[in-house]
This record gives sequence, C-alpha cells and structure tokens, in this order.
Amino acid sequence: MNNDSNLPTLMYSRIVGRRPDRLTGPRQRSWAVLRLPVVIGAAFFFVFPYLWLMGSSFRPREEIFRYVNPISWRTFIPLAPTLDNFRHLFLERNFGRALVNSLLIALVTVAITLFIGSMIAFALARIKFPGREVVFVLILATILIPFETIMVSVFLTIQRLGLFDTYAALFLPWVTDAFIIFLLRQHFRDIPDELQDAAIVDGCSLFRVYWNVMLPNIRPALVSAAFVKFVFSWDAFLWPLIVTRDPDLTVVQLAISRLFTDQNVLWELIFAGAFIGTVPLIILFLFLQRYYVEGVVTSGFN
Amino acid sequence: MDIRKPSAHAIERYRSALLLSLPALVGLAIFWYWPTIQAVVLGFQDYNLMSGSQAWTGFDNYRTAATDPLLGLTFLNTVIYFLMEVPLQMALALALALLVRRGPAWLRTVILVPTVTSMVVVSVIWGLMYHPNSGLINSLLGGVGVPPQPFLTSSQQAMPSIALLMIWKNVGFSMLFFLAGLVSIPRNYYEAAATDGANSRQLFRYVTLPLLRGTVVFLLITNTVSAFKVFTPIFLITEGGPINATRVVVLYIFENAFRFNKMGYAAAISVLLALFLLIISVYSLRASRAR
Repeated sequence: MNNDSNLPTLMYSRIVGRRPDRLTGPRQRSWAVLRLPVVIGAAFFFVFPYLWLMGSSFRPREEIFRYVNPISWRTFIPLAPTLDNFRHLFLERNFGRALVNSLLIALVTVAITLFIGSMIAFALARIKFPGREVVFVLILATILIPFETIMVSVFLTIQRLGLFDTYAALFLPWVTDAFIIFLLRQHFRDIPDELQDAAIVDGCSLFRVYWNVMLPNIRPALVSAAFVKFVFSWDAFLWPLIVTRDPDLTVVQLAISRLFTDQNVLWELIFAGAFIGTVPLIILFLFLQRYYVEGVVTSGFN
Repeated sequence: MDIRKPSAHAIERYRSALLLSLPALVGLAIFWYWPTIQAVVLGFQDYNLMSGSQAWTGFDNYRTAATDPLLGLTFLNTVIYFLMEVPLQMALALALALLVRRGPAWLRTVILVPTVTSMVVVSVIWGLMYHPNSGLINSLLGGVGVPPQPFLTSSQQAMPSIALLMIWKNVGFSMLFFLAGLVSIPRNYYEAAATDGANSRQLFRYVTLPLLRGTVVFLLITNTVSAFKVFTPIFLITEGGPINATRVVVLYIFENAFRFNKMGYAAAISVLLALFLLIISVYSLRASRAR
C-alpha cells in the first residue's frame, strides 16, 4: 500500500522531509537539555485523555472511580479487563446499528462527493469554456457561508423535499463540497498538458480523458479527499440531531452523545462508546497520515 | 473583435464541460444557494413549523434581535470564547510547529490525533475529565497540590474550560499550516541573516514571523469563523449554563429554531452571524493586503 511513487508529494514531503540544520551555540545547548521534558510534556498533554478512555472502557462498572484519585498507573490500566461494557452497548443500546449507519453514510458520502466533485474539478482545471471563472467563484463562495448559518433553511428544504428522517437527508446536503472540488482542481492542474493532448489526438472524448487518463493520475489526491471527507462524515452530529428522529437512523455520534446526556449517566458505557467511535478512525489515520496532511493543507479543510 | 462562431469542436467541448459540472452545480443550488436565499427571506417572516403557518413580518425579527438581551449576551459570550480560544491556540500551534520540526516525528502524529477524533467524543471525554469529584483533571491537579476546581459548574470557569478542550482539539490543525509555512521559507534567508550576525531570537523575529504572515492571516480567518460556530461541546457539556455563562450564538439559533419553534427569528440571527463573519473575513484579507 505504501508505494513510494504514489505518495502525495506536494505538501507532506515538504513538511516532513526537510529538517533545518542543527545550530550550535550556548542557547542551543540549553535548549537540548530542555527539549526532552518539553517533548514528553506536550505528548502527555495530547495522549492522557486517550489513555484514560482506553483503560476505562475495559473496566468493570464498580472499578470506574476507584483509581482516579490519587493518580497512578492503575488510573490508566485496568487490573481485570472486561468486555462487559461493549457487550452492553451492542446488545442493549443497539450500537451495532449506529455503527453500520455511520459507516454506510460515510461511504456513500465519500463515493458521491468524489465522483461529482472530480468531474467539475476536471472541467474547471482542464477544459476552457465561457464562464469558467464565474463557476469557480460561485463554488468558492459557498466556503464563506458557514453551514450553521443556513442549517435552518437547509432543514426546511429537506422537509419540503419529503426527506425528513431518511438516510438521504443524512448525506445529500454534504455531497457537493467546495473544499474537495478545490483540492482536486489543484491536482488536475498539475498534470502536464501533453497527456491530455495525446489522448485527444487518439480520439478520446473529454469524458474518456477524465475517466481513463486524468483520474488515475490523481489517485493520491483522491485518497486524501476520501479520507478527509470520511472523517467529516463520521463526525457529523448537529445535522443528524436536527434531521432524524427514527431510532433506526441513529448515527454513531448521536448514540455516543445520548449515553452522555441520559438521565442516568453510566461512565463505563460512555468510555466504551467513545472507544468504538474513535479507535478505528485513529488506526486508519496512522496508515493514511500523509494523505490526511496533504488533504488538509491543500484544501484548508476545517 | 472576434465574432466568429465557435467551431463544432468548441461546442462539443462546452457541452462536455456543462455535463461534467452539472451534478455539482445542481447540488450546490439545492443545498447552498437556495437555502442561503431562503435564510434571508425567512428572516422577514414568522414561520411556525408545527402549524406550517407563514406570515410576512417585515423587520420585526431584526427589531426583536436588537432588543433581545439574551441575544446580546450570546454574542458577547461567543466573542469571549473567541478571545480565549483563537490567540492561545495559534500561539501554541506555532510553538508546537517549531518543536515538531526539530523534534521526533511521532510527536506530530500525536498532536494530530485529536483532529481526527470526533467533536462528540472529545466533548464527552473532557466533560468527564472536568468532573469536580471523579474527574481526571482535579486528580492531576491534586497531585501537584492544587485544590479541586469546580470547572464546568462555575460560571467563571465554564467558558475557559470549554476553550481549553477546543484548543486541545484544534491546535494540530493550525500546527500543520504553520509547518507548511515554515518549510516554504528559503533556507538561505536564515543563512544570510546569520552571516550578518543575527541571533536565533532575531532570526525568528525578523525572518520567520514576517514570512509567516500569509499563514497567520489564513489561520486567523478560518479559526475565527470556526470559533463563532462553536456548538457541540457547549450543547453536550454545559447546555449554555451555568446561568447562561456559555450560551453561544449557534446554540441560540438551534434553540430558537428547534426548541422554541421560532424559525424566522432563528433565520434572522443566522443572517446577522453570517454577515458578521463575512465582514470580518473580508476586512482581515483587505488589512493583510494593504500592508
């Protein structure tokens, strides 16, 4: 999978590849002494919530609060790990359904976003047509309108289309994405003209050029876009909260949030739910980190 | 002037471009442009979701907004949150970028993990960590002799607590852009300045910072917009409390639309928020170009 010729080389290798020369001097030497504690402190700041989350999700109910205070290694590592919390989530809280819903919605969102996004990105980057600049500005203009400021009217639109409380409502508003279009357009532009010209001389239609010649050439950018969009879709909370009511349509973030806002808050279930909702994505991230970095930096996706 | 008709070849090209663009444009029209127009229209209406009744009310919603003390408070709270989150987050991001550049690669990965962790999970885990009696943070503080803090249950500490968890989640995002900005500074700038006798503090002040200005402007705009959109952690952890101390604009829009059934008023607040953010973005861009 990690074929080096296929890497998105644009930003990632620049961020990671080149290190500044080590400077020498009294300031640098005092920094060398300080660096290790600073690195460890920073790492601890970002890691300790995950340690607590992972340790606690395998802890039996009666042990949840026992080792929090005073803090020790026992706070993070369960002495008698158990899968009871996960069993409870899947058997009694229908967590499996929520996971499948979120996974399906994310896959459908990614597939459609990439398909229609890459088509228009190709047209904008590689076809000269009147009004091209206007179309591009119109697309970028949507970035200036935060979704939160139109969520009320998007909700009413969904309702008028008769899509309230359906799967379609959960992905349709998200499949046209200006960030993704922008990202893919940048990559289409970097492809040398000769490739396209040769294909057209050979009698390829523009659609064939797009599908057979151009798409394979931006595969790394497609992976970046897919992963960034997948994370985005998996994280969706406010929109599903507004637009669904049917328990069968519950997505994973709603399921986790309900454990937290329940009348009777059960900490061990929250930890286990957060674990299931997070760890698969983190593992995916560890493999696709370079694509994620590339996607975020090139598109400015936030 | 060229008044030749486009060739058959060109027409074929336009047709392809149109067909390739059409699905995305239709999607944008239905889910971005139309709702944007609708939001403006809705702002001048009284719309009841339950009965479906819809009536023109002119500027009534905006008049209400001008005199609604709770709306004023939510804007103020959002500005306070913005002031707590954005400057500190960006300063920390720059510091971490400088650290990661010379530090181990795994540290970058660790800092980025919260950016791929969902907002809901970050909210609930930090919500538990902030628990006054059973939370991890008070027991960490206890380890260094600090007495237990009330955090989210105190109207003074609730907003800083929310800001801290958002800094934790967002700082990796800003760090990435600083890293990208840092590597784009040509190395010979540093060499030239060092030859002229600049020390490392001067290098930072007179080479690094000025050349990062584009990155800073970009991050300032995106982080500001995202700060004014804050919703999930507050909705889940404090629900705007204690005593409205964390009630922010998007939460107020949400409540008006989907709890109080005041769609028109919610739309009017949305329009005000959108205009406010638009003005800030355009102004920052102008200001950064003028210099």
